Parts: sequence; C-alpha cells; structure tokens
Amino acid sequence: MTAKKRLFVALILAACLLASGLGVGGPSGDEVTRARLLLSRATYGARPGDLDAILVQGTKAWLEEQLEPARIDDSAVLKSLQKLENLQLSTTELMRKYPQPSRAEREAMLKARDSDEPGERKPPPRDRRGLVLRELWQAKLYRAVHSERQLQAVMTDFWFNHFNVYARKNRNTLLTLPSYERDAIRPHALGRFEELLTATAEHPAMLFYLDNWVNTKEGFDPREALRAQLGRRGGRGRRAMRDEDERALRISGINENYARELMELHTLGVDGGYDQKDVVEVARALTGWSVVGPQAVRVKQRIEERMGRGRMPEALRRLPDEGSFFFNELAHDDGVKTILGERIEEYGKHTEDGASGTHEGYAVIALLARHPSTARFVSTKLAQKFVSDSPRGALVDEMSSTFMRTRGDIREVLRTMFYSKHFVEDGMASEKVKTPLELVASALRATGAKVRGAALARTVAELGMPLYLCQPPTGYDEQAASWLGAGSILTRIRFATELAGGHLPGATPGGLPRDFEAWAADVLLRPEALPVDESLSGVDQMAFFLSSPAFQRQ
Amino acid sequence: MMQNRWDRREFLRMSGSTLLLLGGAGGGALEARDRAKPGVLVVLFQRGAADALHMVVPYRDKRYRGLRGALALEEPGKGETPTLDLGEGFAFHSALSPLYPLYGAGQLGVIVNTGSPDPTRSHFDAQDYMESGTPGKKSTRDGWLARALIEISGRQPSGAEAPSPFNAVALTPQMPRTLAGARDTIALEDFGSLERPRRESALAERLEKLYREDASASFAAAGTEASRAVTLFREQNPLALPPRKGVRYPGGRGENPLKQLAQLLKSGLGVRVAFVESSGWDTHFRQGAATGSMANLLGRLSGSLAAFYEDVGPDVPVTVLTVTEFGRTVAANGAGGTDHGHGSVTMVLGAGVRGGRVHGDWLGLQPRNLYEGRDLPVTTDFRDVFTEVATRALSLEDTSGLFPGYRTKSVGVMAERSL
Repeated sequence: MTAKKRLFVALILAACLLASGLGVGGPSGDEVTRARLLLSRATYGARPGDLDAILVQGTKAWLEEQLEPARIDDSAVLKSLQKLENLQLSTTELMRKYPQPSRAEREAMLKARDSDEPGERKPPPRDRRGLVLRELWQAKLYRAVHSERQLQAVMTDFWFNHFNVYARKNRNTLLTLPSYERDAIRPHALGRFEELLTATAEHPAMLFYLDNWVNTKEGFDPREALRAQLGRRGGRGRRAMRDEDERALRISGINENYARELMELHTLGVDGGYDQKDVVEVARALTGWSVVGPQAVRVKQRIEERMGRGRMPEALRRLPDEGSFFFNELAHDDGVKTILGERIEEYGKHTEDGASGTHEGYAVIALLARHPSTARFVSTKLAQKFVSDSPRGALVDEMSSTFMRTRGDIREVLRTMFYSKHFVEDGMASEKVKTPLELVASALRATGAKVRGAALARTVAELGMPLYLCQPPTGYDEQAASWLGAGSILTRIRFATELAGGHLPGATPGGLPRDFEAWAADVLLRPEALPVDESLSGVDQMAFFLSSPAFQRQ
Repeated sequence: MMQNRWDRREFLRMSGSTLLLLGGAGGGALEARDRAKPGVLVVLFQRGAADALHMVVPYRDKRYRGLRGALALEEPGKGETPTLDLGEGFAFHSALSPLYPLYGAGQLGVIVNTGSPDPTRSHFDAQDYMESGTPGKKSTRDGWLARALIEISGRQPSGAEAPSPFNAVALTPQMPRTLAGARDTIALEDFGSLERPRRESALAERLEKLYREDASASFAAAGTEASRAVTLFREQNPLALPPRKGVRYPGGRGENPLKQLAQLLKSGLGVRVAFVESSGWDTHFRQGAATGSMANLLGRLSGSLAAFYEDVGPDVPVTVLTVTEFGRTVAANGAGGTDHGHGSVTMVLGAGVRGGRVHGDWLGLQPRNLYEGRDLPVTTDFRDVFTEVATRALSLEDTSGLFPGYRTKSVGVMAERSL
C-alpha cells in the first residue's frame, strides 16, 4: 500500500467514525435534521446510506456540489441514457424519422380500429411516434431514481412543470419534447431565469402548445403573402399548392394564448399587475414567432420542384428546416406597443439586430423576467416546492430580493432558500406530500430497486400524474391537498404492495433489508414517526411501510 | 338571500320532525321516501368532435345533399337504410335506431347547434374549455362537474352523513378534467381493481386505520374515505350484479364502461355524477354514410346507451348528457370525411327530459348562416345546456358556482321542476 493510499484509507475511517457519532464532535442534531430534510426535498428521496454520506461530506459541501451538477460524476447514468436514441436527436431529425402517417396509413389505422368483423382485424399499423414518449418516460424515471445529480433532476422537473407542455397538443408536439427538455430546460435549470424563459419562448414545443406559432398581425393573409413572394412568374409555384396546404394556411390574427400564460403562469403571476390590454400588447410583440412545420417544408419542396431553386424567392429559399424556430417577418405587427407602461419600441433602438422584429419579443421577455412581481412569483413557487405549501412571507422576501439583486440567478435564489434559517424550521414543521413521481422514485430509491424500461410511467399515471401529459398550462399542483383522496390512497397502497412483493411492472426489485427498523429510520424524513406493526414481517412489513402516511410525506 | 337560507333551514328542521312523527306513526311513508334514490347525472364525452350532421340529419334542407355529397343520407322511409324521422325536418342516422324508441317515448331530446363561444378548432383547447367550463380561459384548475358536485355537497344539512366516497365516478384511466378538483371522486378504468385479493385486504385494513388515526386532518380524511370506499364496495359487491333480463350491451374491444357504470348505479354506492368517454369521432377520412366507420361508432354508442338506460331501469333516476368539443365542416372534404368545425349536437336522455323533440335554433345551411361560411353555428352555449341539465338532474338549488361570471339562459330541454 502506498503512502497516498494509506492516507486515503485513514481518512475514510475517520469519516466513518464521524458519521457514526463516535468521533470527536460528531454531526449536531441540527445538521442531521438538515441532512434528512435536504435528502427529502432536494433529491428524490434517501437511499440507504445516503444520510451517512451527506453527513460525512457536510450538508454545505453536499449542497454546493448539487448546485454545480457538472462537478458530479454521473457517467454511469449518462451512458445508460445514451441508449435512448430518440432523445439524442434534434426536432428536425425526429420529424424526418417519424413523418406524419400518410393518408393511406391513417385510413388503415381507422379501418382496423372500427372494424367489427373479427376476420378482418389485422394488427393495426402502429403510430411509431409512441416510442419517443416511452423513451422520455424511461429517461425521466431513470434520472429521478439513479442520477447522482439529484437537485438538477428535481429542478428540471420543477421547470418543466412550470413551463408545462402537453405532448398531445397536436401531432408534432411530442417530437419537440426531447429537445425541449434537453436543450431549453435542463441546461438552465440552475442558471438564469431570463435565459430559461427565453429558451422556452423560442422553443417549438411552447410555440405549438400555447399557439404562438399561429399568432400573426391582424389581417395577415398567409396565402396572399406567399403569392406576393412568388411574384408574377410564380404561377407554377402557386399551382404546386394543394387543397390541404390552402387549408393549413388559413390562419390569421392575434392569438393571445401564449401572451396570457407567459404573464399569468410563467412570470408575473395572476395578481402580478397586468391587464387585458397588456396581454394584447404582448401578443402583438410576439406576432410572427413561429415554427416551420413539416407541411411548410413540403410546400417549399413542391414549389422548388416546379420553379427550380434558382427562381424561388429568397424568403422561401431561406426557410429553415422543419421543427425550427422561425421568425415570420411578414406576420409581425410593426406598430408601437406599450407593456406595463413601457414603450417597447424604445428597446429596439438599443439592440444591434435592428433589422429583425424579434427584438421586440426579447425586450418583452427581459421586461417580464426582471420584474419584481416575477421575482416574488417564482420565489414563492420555489419555496412551496422545497419548504412549505404556504411559505412565510419573510422567506419569500429574502428569496425575491436575491432574485432581483442577481438578475434572476436561480442558483443564488436556491442558496438563499436552503441557507435561510426558515428552511429547516418551516420545512420540518410543514406537511408536504409526495407527488406520484416523487413517491414512486423515492420508494425505488429507498428499497434499492432499479428502473427497467418505461412501464413504471403507467404506475405514475395511475397515481394521477401522467408524465408529459398534463393538459393545462398550470402544470401539476404541488399542494398536498391535490394528492390526497380516497382513490389516490388506494392506488398508493396498491403500488406499495406491488413494489414490496417484487411484481411492480418496470422495476427490478431490490430485496428486503436485514434490519428493517434501522433501514426504515435511515430512509425516512422523521424517524420518530416510524410506522411499526409488530405482527407484520417481510413483504407485508415493507408494503405497510411504503403505504404508510409517514412515507407519503416529503 | 339570508331570508331564503333561514327558510330552508327551518324547512329542513320542520320536515325532519314531521318525518320522525310519520316514522313513529307508520314506517311506510318514511321508507318510501328513503327508497327514492336521488338523481344521477352521467356525462358522456364523444372525444374527437362528433359530426352533428351524421347524427341529426336536416334532410329537408335543400342544400343538404349538395353540401354533403357522398356523405348524404337517405330521407326517412326511403332507400335501403332510411333515416329515422324526428319531426320538423330532422332525422336520426339509421345507426341511432336503438335510441329511436326512447325519442318516441319522450325520454330523449336533442339540441342542435350547440357548442362553445370560443372559435378554436383545436381538440385539445376545445375539450379543455368544455371540461373546465371556462371557454377562452386555460388556467382554470377545476372542472365544471366538480363544481356541480360542490353544489350537491353544499346542500347537505349539517350533521348529515358525509357524501359517499363514490359520489363521483369516472370510468377512465385517469381523472378527467371535467372532475378535476372534486372530492369523493374515484377514477378507474375498471372498478374490478377495488376487489382486492385477501392478503392485500388484511394489510389495507391496518393501513386504513393508520391513516384514520393520523395526526394530520387531510391524511385522516383520506384514510377514512378510502376505508369507506373499500368497505362499501365490498358490501355492495356491484360487479356481481347481472344486467337486467333481456338487456344486451354491444360487443367491442374491452369492457363496455356503460355496463359497469350500470352495475355501480344499481348498487347502493351513492354515485351522483359519472363520467364516461368514447373516442374515434375525429372523422377526417372516409367516415362513410349509412354504413361505414362513423355508422359503426354510432351503432355502438346508441346500442350501449339504450342498453344502459334499460339496465338501470326506472329505480335510479338517471340523466345522460352527451357532449363533444365541437362539430365538423358541413361539406365533405376531399377524403370522404369532414374537418374540424364549430357547432355540434347534444343529446339528453332521462325521465326529466322534454324529449321527443328537437331543441335549439336551427338556422339552415345557407352559407350566410354558417359559421365562417362553412360550419354549423353555435346558437346554444354549452354552458346553458350543462346548467339546465345539471340543475334538474341533481336538483341543485344554487348554480351560480357552476360557470362563474356567466349568465345562463334557459334552453327548455328539461321539464319544469314538478313538486
């Protein structure tokens, strides 16, 4: 053994002694409580041994590491996730890989579904896009249970829920989601709020989901615009248009959906001090923020075949690939806008990119991202997530002021929250209930079970939280009341029984602990609340524990 | 307002003592009153936007054949598969024949040109608005039927027994948006999953106790409800009830949700509102005419509904409301189907319905009377229909919370309250 190695072993031993409380000045009771609370709220739940590890490292060092996920080695998990091929592709690649089913294919699907005669029933052609959703499910569950970058996983889900997108909004939305989570959310989950907001605003997922892709200036006629582009000699190009293209182009006018939710749900909050006039003005500023759909590319290709690339108008030639953000200048409303009392035109003068109307949208995003109402709204939501369903004003004040001072540095706001004296005090006093995803992930982590495939997502859905399939833009509710009810308790009991019995679909069971009580005290937030039923043992004891109110609490 | 409330409380007190006296004098009257089950409202969502003109055919409109082309259906009494005359120039698609006797008996009414004031042609948005009951507003958290449920519970006199944990049921894999935010609601695709194996149930009893005795009120309440749900389900054992003699539900893949719903309603679970859904109504391609894919869907829908209504029988005063997010284009598209439109049609089935007639303002198929020149217009707001049907079906007294900020108008599809 080299000297270096000997020193290392000695350090490990010392650390073990410290952890077991035998060393000089072991962790204080406060430190243990803080560690338990961090494991409960800032991760998807404690695994056996996590508590000792975090105490050896010290809660501060552990937290600082979690706040800088790049410093944490997560290579094993990342390597496993590499196998999910669709999650590595861009939206353009996914749209090319999974083209919309042709009319004949869709007819065949309908026919197979409606056929009443058993003889006629062939296996229906499958919409292979479902695989994308299954990979998203698998990755979400895999990260929640196995990733070492736990806080990053928790925050990615938090922001996905905050900037919720429903996978089945239209035929293309699902294909935008791998990029949405990977490129727009995760890189900014602990970064700057303004960058996160911008990334979601420009992303095809959000543009589809909240309809901004069809938000145009009043009176805009896409057919007229295309004809004007094609010019006098564009007859051939015009003849390349088909009925379905004409139908697809029948979109025009202000669409306020995104503008409204941008203020109500993403930034200012419903009482954040805006009115209906602001909604319209924000919508106008964002006219023309759109997405190139597969249909637009098909029209372009048909026109190109007829006219030849050289004679195609410049604007058409420059049309980006399908699935990309696209600023449609022709659809943009150029007029002056006044939002929350500020003239947006003023911002344009300071941007270098004067030629593009997108600067108005960016100006609106900056205005909203830096607004005090946003600081308060986002801080409140974070405090509700990590501390208490009804956080005290003083904590929200501290967090909002950090938000304002650091121009929305999410990492700093989290620091303020986790290091606040209110975190442990109010966190322990509060009654937070695990959401279905949190329950399932924490149960797998506590029992050492492993995620296998995507089948577990069905369980999460049965518990009331279908992943990527939350319809309303509000996302799922964090409040305890939404997750407690007769039906949900019964489903939670069924889940626990299946997991304990080792027959939960989508999970490889981890086995039962030798010393049940020691194990339970290790993974529970409040070990004094350990539910024990003397008459139970083995699988029943485990099922009882995982179903108990104590394990539903976060 | 205050005056009314006092009156009601006083009435309850007085009627309570009257009932007690009656009970002392002779149990008959009290028993009879007990047996009269409260009304049940079933909402059936046709997901995908059902084509109104393939359900209720305006055969006398002279533009009908031209606009529908190959989709046009025969007149009543004509051709191989004649439509079924509803009067006033309207007819049912022949595939709706199982429901036709109920129309004749005045138990089934239809309302033409119903829908949402919101112009969206997105399934997602339109379903969302119809389920939350707030057209144009997406951030509403709860569903309209959940709000109706609150009106029922709100009417419970204090000290009355808590509502059944099966107060609302949805035969869907997840809680539908229509019932979001409701308490005492259970959503299960198959209620058979409540019949647990023995080993699990012993454990469950202990757990339910643990919940009931939890220090936190919300856990305790949930545990109590869960206990009651399981106990009640075991006592009532609804899934053992066979369909009424002679009732046959149409086949098809999987269990017929209406068949199971009938079992839940016939037992004493205390269901007041129920939600079921049927999918496949998004008929862009080859929807067929008298026969074909949409006719198959209609056949299954009407066969199931008629069987359900007969199965449940007169003992349970049930009202069924069919809804769909919007209608479809009047004209056929190039693929033998129809595209997303605006106004559609609603059916209401039940003893309290002014059935046997076509309700709603029909404006004809002249282009100037169509919405954006192509779709059926909406002349009856869905909220007017929902309010009237829910009010009568569930005997609601105060409906102001159903669609906040909306002033409802009378539709006339439900009979006046009889006293």
